[in-house]
Amino acid sequence: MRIGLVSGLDWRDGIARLRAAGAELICLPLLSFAPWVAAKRDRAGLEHAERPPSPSLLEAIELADGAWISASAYESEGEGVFYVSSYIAGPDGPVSRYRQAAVVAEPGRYEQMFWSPGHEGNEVAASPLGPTGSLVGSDVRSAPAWEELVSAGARAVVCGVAEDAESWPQTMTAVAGLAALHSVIAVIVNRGGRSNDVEFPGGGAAFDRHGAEIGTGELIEVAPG
Amino acid sequence: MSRTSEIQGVGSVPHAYYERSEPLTGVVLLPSQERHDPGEHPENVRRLPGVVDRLRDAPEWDRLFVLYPRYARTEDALRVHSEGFVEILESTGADAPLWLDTDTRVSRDSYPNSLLAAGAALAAVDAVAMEAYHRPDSLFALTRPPGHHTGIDKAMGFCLLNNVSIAARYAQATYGIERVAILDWDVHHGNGTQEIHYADPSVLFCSLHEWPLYPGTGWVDETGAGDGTGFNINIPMPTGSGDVEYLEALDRVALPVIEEFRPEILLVSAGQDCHAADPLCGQLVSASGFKAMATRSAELARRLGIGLVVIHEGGYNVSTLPLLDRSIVAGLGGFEVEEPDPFAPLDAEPPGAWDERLESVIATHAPRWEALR
Repeated sequence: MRIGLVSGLDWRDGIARLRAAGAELICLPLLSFAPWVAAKRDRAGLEHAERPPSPSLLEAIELADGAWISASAYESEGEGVFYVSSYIAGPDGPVSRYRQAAVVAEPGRYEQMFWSPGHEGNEVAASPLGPTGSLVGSDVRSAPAWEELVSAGARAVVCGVAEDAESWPQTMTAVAGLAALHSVIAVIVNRGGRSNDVEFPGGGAAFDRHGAEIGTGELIEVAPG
Repeated sequence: MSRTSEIQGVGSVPHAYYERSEPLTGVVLLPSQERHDPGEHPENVRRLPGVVDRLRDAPEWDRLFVLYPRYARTEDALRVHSEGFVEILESTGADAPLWLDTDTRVSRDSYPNSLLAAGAALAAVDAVAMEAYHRPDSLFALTRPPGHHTGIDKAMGFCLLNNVSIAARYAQATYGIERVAILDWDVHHGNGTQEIHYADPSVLFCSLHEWPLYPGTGWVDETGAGDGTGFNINIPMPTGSGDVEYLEALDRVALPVIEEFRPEILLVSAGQDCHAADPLCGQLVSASGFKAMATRSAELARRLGIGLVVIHEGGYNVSTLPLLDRSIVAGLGGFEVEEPDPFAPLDAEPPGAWDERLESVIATHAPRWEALR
């Protein structure tokens, strides 16, 4: 099957283009539909949150035109209650949801100011890639988060991140290692472009059950897990 | 090491009874706080466990006085709330979950848990007020739900029972205390506490709060009523106020007035929602600022020879609350906090209108309080 990875800021164009190119699962990075609000300690960023289910996610599902979507939305359950929700959605709507649990605060990524740690646990969706779980942000480097998904039956893990040029290669290495450790397929997509004065290199890759790279770039052929 | 230097008699409050080389402080923990579960809500069950975990992991944990609370009795609640209101709260369990107003949601066990939260404040009053060898100088009651918005007969703003007012009245009823001072630094005005003590000169209420903001009360000219006129001091902080402004408000108004009032116990409504990363406000106080406010409160209580009870109110960022509450404990006990606050503003502009507001507060209350002249 073909997996499309949307790194750029224009997610609408990316989804439409990759669907046209035959992608059956389209993966988006961390905070797929919002600017990188965590760049600055400015509460104005809270205004970008959407009520769940994120209307942007629903629009992305429409644009995917029958393909599956993995994306993370900035959501608010009401005043003062914010999360980053990672969805795996089929043509008929969201199939699984979990909320980013490891939330960090460091220069350029003041996530703790903008969203709370998720507390609902993770879910596995029956996607075209097989039993699939998703992880976003710092959760992709969390061994317990991978163990939870694998214990729930995941045979593939799709990861959405927002890493700078320095941490992106390290994160890919970690994901490849965790894929090998748990003998699952892993797909990772990084945020690209400049947002709120932070530059993201973009990019993405897929790894097989041994942690070996299957491919990189926007469109990758992967055998389902 | 404590030594007996002055015997005031059982039930007396002056802390000169024991002189310690180091202050003794601690916390009141709230077991089963998760029974008050408003669901996906800013005031949620995840606020306090992280605080307790952080304190337990801290090197100062072994030096803390740790207490578990008892339930407040209905008669304790009835010293500040109407009978009808308490009956309504008591009856909510049967129909829960339900909303008491647009912000305040209760679950089946919210009422008993609110009695336990109020009881935590009472246990802290007992501990600092009664004669005992290991009497702490101060205690921080880690309570939820918060209480300072609840007035005589109305729950609002995430609050059920007014813990700090119940503690104030309990101290007066139980320990023969005449004068109680309440300092409130929650980002929202403590309108419930104000309402309860508005005409009462035996309770000095001094509130630092962002203004304008929910609940809309708390302007300078709300100074009390009848005999209580002059005993209600509101310091409306402009949006964007940080450590500098909050400490100036304490140093120039709140603490001098409290000292002149000569309270026999000092209660603090500690809401950490004026922190720079809280999602419900526009203020910029840092962890160091909270530590400094706690330090100043403890120093004042020590100077006056009285007990200090800090009662948890707001603070809705579950990621940052552990550091902030630990900083308060550190301020009370004189501990170091090695953790940096990643949200401490380094380059904040002074908020507009602060000087004018402060001068307005001073001018309003100077006729009553010599310390402001």
